[in-house]
Amino acid sequence: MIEDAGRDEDLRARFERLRQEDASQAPAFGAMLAHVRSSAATLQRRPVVVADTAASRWRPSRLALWGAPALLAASLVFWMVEDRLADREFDLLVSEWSRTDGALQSPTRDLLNVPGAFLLNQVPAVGNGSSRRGL
Amino acid sequence: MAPTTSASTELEASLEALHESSFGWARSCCDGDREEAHDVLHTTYVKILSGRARFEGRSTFRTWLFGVIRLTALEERRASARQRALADWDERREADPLDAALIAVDEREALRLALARLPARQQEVLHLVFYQDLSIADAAEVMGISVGSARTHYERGKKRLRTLLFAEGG
Repeated sequence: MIEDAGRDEDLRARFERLRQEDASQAPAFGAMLAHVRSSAATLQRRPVVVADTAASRWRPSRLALWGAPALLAASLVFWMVEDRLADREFDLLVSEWSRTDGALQSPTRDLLNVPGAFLLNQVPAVGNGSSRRGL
Repeated sequence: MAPTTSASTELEASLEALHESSFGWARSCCDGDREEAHDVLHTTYVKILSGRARFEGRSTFRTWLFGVIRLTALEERRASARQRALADWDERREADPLDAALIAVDEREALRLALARLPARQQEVLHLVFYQDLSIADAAEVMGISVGSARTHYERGKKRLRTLLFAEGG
């Protein structure tokens, strides 16, 4: 461990000498700035955002973070609404069928259709004048 | 949008304070190539002063600036730069059996070449920690990776750099 720390110090010293060399070779800030100013003035007319690196790095994640739940919620609402509409449509269909083809009919219903059965519907009500019970 | 005059002056002062460090970092991002580092730094300053790159205070100014320099270097990096550095290294090693001694004399050059032989992430984290005195967490921020990942690159890079410097070149 001590040896490792010592070797770190050696590396650090080498990097320090490298830093000193770079510092002596760095271009003059003032001269560079003068050139940069003219270039920057030209570029100001076409702004392109180069964001903070951290922001760039997290932007897709943020999009996923907020986008995924929103998409899920929208899907859920859509699914529920569609499901309800389908249920309602089915109810209407069943109701219509029940009213017509599916209406309950007794299996012995036809036994009442005997000859002269229509007369039963034409017997006037007793004690009720001339009125007749309708069909 | 471009910074206002007072903001621009403040920005320029901040850039000037970090100018030498920025040049060192740009040079590291360009495999030690001075000219390329100069171009990268110039482009970086243009981006900042024209408002194309804006500091939003999410990190320290230096961390943000180094991030912009890194991205700019990645954009502008010529594909041949790394190959050229490696070719130089190999050429020198093969040319002269006493090359190790020569490299030992030019210690700074040896360090540069050894760094150029490391994977990019390892180069970056070692430069940021040893040269720029950043913490591993700050280096991770500049590099856009997790602290754990930066630490792994740091340990591996350090080990490999020592091998290259002490075993091969001294």
